[in-house]
Amino acid sequence: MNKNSKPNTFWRDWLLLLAAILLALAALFFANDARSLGGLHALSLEIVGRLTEPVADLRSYLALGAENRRLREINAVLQLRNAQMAEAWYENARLRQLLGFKMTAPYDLIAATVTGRETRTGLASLLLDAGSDQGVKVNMTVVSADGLVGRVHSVSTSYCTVQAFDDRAFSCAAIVQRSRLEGMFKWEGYNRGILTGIYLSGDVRKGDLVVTSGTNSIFVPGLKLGVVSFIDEAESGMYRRIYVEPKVDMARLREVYIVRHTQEGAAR
Amino acid sequence: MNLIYYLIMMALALGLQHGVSDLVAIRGVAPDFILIAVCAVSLFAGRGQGTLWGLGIGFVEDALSGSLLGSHALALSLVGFISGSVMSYRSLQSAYSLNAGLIVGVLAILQHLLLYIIIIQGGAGLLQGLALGIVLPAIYTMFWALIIFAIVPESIWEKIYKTEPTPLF
Repeated sequence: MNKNSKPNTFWRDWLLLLAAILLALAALFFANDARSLGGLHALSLEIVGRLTEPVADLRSYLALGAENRRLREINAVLQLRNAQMAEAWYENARLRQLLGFKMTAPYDLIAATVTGRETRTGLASLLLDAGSDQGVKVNMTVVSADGLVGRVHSVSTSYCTVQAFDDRAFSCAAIVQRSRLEGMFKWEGYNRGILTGIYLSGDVRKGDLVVTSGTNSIFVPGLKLGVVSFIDEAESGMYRRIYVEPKVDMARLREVYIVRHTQEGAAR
Repeated sequence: MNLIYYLIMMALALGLQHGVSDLVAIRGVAPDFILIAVCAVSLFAGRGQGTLWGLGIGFVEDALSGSLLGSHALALSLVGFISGSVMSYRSLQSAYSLNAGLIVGVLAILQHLLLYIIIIQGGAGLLQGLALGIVLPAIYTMFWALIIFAIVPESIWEKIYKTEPTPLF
């Protein structure tokens, strides 16, 4: 018998356990529909944000050389692509003007650094060093140069957590960029991204880019989700089973951007 | 008061879990440093305090991970209670690091099983769920628990054990 199992503490410990279980169950059943950030969320974010910031700084410093080389390569590619995009943008603007369409406003971005991440199986969240002081709000879209990263889940004054794109509970409306077929992107099992809701007759090919469709109003449209890696033709039923390989490498993610765009659709 | 030691343990565990665990993850399977910290508190302070620390840090984890509020709190308070019931620093005696590590492994299976039932809800397939969600993370957590319990000098464990305990009420 250990030192805490004395008779006078026996019932106290069992009562404590009962109270803890009841409290946890009450939270499970009654506190999960709360949209607003409670004191616990804000306090947890602030504490863990401050705890992980030195580690994140050290990791950024150690990865600086490799990161620099990679960014130089990306920069060269983007320079060329930017020139092509600029041409296309001016052409698009001219055609929109001819057709009488309104120009859409460019998105406003908030830069943030990944200071921590949740890596337990099935759960995926990121901790960013930007909070309500920088204008971050719940449900804002988080992106990187490679595409969609996730959505802001909770915010404190200086930090926020993001439900990452590879979280098992993550799903969003998606579109096959080439054929404009709409479906729903979600995770199957622990690590397989699939695109559902595409009919058997749908025009989808291996290598097609899958992007956010924007129809669910949380995510900005056109953000890269991944490429079609496999189409299961043997699947019976009305829909094709389309596997999607994600574009963003979450393990290497350091710098991300939060799009100033909320569910209310400020930028839409 | 030994409260300060437990606060440091929890702060270290949170820092390791959110800042370092992805560095030591193998194919997405990461150790659970928070579970190890809750077991360590129970080891020294007993199951009453283990339950309370498990509940508190569990709520913090729920808030941070974005999972169902109460899921980690429920699993970790149970872990705290059970680990405090089956082991204490003195009862483990000379082989405490090995014994504590093995107990952490068993409790990690329990915790991951609970989280699998609450959060994943079996949708991932039974075999894949058992392997990726429960058994492999538990084994890897046990491996890290063995290392942590072994490398921290016994003098530090002794100091924590002999510090005047913080009264629960």
